[in-house]
Amino acid sequence: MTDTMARLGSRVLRRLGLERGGRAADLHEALRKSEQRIVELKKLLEKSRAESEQWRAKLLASSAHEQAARKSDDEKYRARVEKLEARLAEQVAKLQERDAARAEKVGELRDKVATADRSVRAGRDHLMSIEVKLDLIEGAINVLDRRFRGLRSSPGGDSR
Amino acid sequence: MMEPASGDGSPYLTIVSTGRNDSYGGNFEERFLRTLRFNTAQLAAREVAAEFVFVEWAAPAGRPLLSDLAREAVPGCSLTFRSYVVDAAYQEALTLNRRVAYLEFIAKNVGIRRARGEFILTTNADVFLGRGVLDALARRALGRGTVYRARRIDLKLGIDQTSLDWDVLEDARNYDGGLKPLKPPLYAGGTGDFVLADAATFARLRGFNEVFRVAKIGIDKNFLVKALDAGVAIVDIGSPVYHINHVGSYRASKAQYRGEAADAPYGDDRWPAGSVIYENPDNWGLADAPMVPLRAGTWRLPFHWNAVPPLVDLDRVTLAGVADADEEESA
Repeated sequence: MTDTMARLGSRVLRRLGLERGGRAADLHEALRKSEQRIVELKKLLEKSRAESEQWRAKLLASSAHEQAARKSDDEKYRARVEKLEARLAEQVAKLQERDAARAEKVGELRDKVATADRSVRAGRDHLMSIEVKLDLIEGAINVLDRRFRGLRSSPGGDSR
Repeated sequence: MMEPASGDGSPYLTIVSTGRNDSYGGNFEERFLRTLRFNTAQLAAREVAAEFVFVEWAAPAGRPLLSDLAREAVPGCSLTFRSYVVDAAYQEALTLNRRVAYLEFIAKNVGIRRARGEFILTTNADVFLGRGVLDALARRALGRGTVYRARRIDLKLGIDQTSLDWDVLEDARNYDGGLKPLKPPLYAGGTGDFVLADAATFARLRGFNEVFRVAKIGIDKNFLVKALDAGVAIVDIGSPVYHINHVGSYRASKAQYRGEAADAPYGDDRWPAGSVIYENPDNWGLADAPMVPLRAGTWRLPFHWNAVPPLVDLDRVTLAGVADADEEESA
């Protein structure tokens, strides 16, 4: 009967927004702990923020360094490529010059060969013409020889 | 000396050939008369205004003239047949090679010089004109300033010659050897069997070579080289002529003289006929030879030194400007 009365009394107090003395102490303690926890958490958050800022700064510093290094490399390579390109262009120009000179020489040689070929043909033709003339002379000599022998051996000829 | 073609009844065509009654090739007389009968009949059938000029070169004494035999063999022929009997002393005086006993192309020049036709065909006495050639003549399809060539088809040695007609001539089974086409620019090959041009072109070129009298082989091709060098067009008439192979022909006997070319009866075939040409003298074709009528349509050309060119005239040997583009044999 007493327990029932106590529970009923607590219920009425709670309805009125009041707690019994023991319970209020508990709640007060929990509140204090919570506030303490909030303070701790705030500190932790501050710390994390500070660390984060630190990392961010570090990261930024690192990235700038890398960028600077890369830029330096780029410039170095660009200069090298430009140098190589210049050297290549120089070589190409030299080769083109040599090629043109060679082409000119080949053209000259070709002309010389053509001239020599024409000369050989002309020489060959003249040689053939001379051979024909020699054939004619040989034929004529044979004919004259035959005629002369005929005259010498004829009855009225002088056959001494 | 050359009688010009004109509209005064001159024939459209003169066919010039040469021969003599010496049984050349075994039965020359028969081959000559058979061919003459065939060609005469074919030309008459197509009403081609043609004349035959036959040159009997150094005809042997004591044997009938082939021209007399020809007149008997083709009696009443509507085509004119004229012949010139050339004194054997011309052969003796002209030759520069005693092995060449027949200066065939100077004989042909004698005929060319005396031809009356607007066009002149020089051929051999045993050549049958092909159908296409006859048709071209009938159509009067020839142009001036052009040398026409025809491919020669050799008929087999020993073929039955008693009844030669189109069926036999145009039957490829009767052909001896492959059919080689004529090749530009010279269209040489068997040239002596068919060289056709207008009279003015022959006169301009002064006929076949009379300067190089050391060989008769290659003289026909040499004429083509000269023609080409002179800017005369050479074309294939597009139809063949037919020749019956016989003993003694260049084709049949060249193997016999391989390695002994200088002893060949046609002369040394190695002479440069494709490069070295000629300029015949004004009196080419025995133009200055006296002519004595022997009988109707036949004249004798007695010997006279006036008609004979110098033994050697080296200035008349010239070089062709055209390349030796055709190395084919020409006999």
